[in-house]
Amino acid sequence: MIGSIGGYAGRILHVDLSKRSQRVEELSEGEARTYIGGSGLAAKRLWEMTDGDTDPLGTENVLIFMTGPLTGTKVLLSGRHEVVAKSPLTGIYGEGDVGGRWGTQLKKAGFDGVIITGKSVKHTYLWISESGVEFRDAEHLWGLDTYEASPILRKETDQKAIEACIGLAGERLARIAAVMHDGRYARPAGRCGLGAVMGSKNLKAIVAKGDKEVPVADAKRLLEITKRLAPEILKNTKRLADYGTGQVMTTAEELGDLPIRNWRKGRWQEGAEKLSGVTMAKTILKSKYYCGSCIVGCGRIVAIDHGEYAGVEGQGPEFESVALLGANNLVDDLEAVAKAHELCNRYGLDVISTGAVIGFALEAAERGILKDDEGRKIDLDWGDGKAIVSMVEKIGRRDGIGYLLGEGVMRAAAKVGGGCEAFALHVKGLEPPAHDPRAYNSLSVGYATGNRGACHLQGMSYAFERSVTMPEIGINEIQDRLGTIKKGELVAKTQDLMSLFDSLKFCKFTLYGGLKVTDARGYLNAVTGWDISQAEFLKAGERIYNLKRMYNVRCGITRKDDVVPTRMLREKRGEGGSAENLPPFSEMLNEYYRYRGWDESGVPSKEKLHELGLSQLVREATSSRNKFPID
Amino acid sequence: MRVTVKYTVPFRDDTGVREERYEIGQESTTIARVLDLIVCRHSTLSKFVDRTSEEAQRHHLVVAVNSRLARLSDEVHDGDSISLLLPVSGGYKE
Repeated sequence: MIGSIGGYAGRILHVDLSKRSQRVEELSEGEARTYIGGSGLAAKRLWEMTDGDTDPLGTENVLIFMTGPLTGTKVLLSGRHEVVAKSPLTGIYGEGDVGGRWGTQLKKAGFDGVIITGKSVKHTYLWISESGVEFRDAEHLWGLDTYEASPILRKETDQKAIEACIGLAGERLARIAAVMHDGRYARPAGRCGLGAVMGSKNLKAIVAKGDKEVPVADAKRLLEITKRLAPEILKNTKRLADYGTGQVMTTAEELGDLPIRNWRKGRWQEGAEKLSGVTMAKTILKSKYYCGSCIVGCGRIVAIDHGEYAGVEGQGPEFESVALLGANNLVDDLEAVAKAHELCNRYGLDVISTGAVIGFALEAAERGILKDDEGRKIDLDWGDGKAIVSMVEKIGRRDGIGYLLGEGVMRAAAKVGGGCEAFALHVKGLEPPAHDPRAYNSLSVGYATGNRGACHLQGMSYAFERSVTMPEIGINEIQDRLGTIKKGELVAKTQDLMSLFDSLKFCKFTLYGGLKVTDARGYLNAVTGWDISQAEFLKAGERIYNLKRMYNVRCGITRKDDVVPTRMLREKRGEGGSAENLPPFSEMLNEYYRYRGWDESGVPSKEKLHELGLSQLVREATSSRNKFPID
Repeated sequence: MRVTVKYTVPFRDDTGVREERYEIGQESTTIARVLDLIVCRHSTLSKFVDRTSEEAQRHHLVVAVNSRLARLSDEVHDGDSISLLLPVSGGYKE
């Protein structure tokens, strides 16, 4: 506890793998209140410890695991943490928002976060408990997949411990490698290649276990909010609980939102139904998975006990998996997709980037551009589930063409050449998730300005164009998804709101449950004992988003990089729910910059930085690093 | 007028058919009215209908007319194709 403040352990663990040393940093209340925790606090540390010259796979990069003030408490849907580093995939700010139970264990061991620096000479894992941290030999674990490593790590530490772990993809520095958590339950820090950062440090795993109670300032108030919200959340997320995120497949297909054939086709009705969460519930679903403090249970646990893919058992496909491994590659065999998804979990691969890069390879092969090392046509066809499964194996192991694809579409396209950059979809190097700006106009601005590249979760603006309102931030009605009025403002507001969620460590599905800004703030005040006003609360979200943007500006990002893949801006789908729509991107981006108080090149103004209390931070960076275009 | 209503999964589990026609004795009507007619024909679908507000309805069920998201008050015309879709969350009316 920081003084009498609840929610925080008050301690951040620093581990230097080069020196095999550790130290504990005391977290100040002022910094906690300014940057909240999770994504915000980790972004602040990344800003302080790295810069534009930092090699993402070099010893100098840092790898940060950070909980939020709600993690480990009884606040509904809050058992999460953030993983942050400079991304080897994009070269800019990288982060992954993680569910599961690892964050809770870390907090209960007495730490708000762990910051990893340096590089171990030997393959190593860390064992963090209330007694502190131990460096453990990981030679016997190197080369194992995440499902294989999990029981060994727990046997060697504590059977109730949870591990963050990389698979072969991370060990072999695939730039689309994820950090996986919790063995077969497989909760990923998927995006931005953070698994490769871990691998570059020769760090196989971080195992955490603790039993300390996370202090709460006003437990009675917390309980009151929970009693009011729980029935509403349960009611509003009933189908999410029944069918998981994959239930939205048919809706996405109908509205022209689903990636089909590397984002080229408009309709795929029967395929979408075959892969939907409803079909999964009737076939391979065995049970549900609940992250820490969750009452919904959208996680899918599946098992296949016969047939070609018998033996698949554990965390099942999410919407992003069935959409990108499946629909994007025209694979409508749910069991093949489940197998490909499990391989991603085992090797530690981001399912989004993996599905996307395979779609890119399929199109390149179809056009005769992609060939193997001996100049022969690649044996890869649309809709071939076996071939997709085999390709995931190759990417995970970094075998043959899989090595190239593990670098992500941007680098693969540059290497292959032949004009294939035109259908290598990415923003700043990050492949888009399974939502199309042609179906939700706001997503074009959201993808272009997402601090980690093309990301639907940094803003979730599309949710407000479909089913959600938030009157407290001026979103009084459900927005027209194909409209253009004030879409820049919508994106900025929702990005700031999601920055808060990622810092508090709320699950974003609380939005669908009906959680409002006042509820989130009420929870924070109940946990910490603060009396944060709505204005201060919202300002923190804006501050955090702008800090990440300034990090990217320091890495050389300007308007020229705030782009959307050409296919999503210039090529009509031609059929389905978004057949004729192309988002008027430039106008919306201009409006976004104006609303944000950024200049025409996309850099936050001095006035904006001053308003957010970031001026001094930026000045210090300017003087110490001398590579910053401010002042 | 005549409209076609398409049922994706899981609504098809309640209706038993992929799609069906509705004859409506007016030149136009609203989505809210069409939902009433659907529930009249398939009473078990009532658990997906909540007309308290637009947002409440979309917690449970999303309606698209000719593949465009529709509000409860939106008009429906002869020949329109109406799809019942699950939202991401997929709520449940008590």
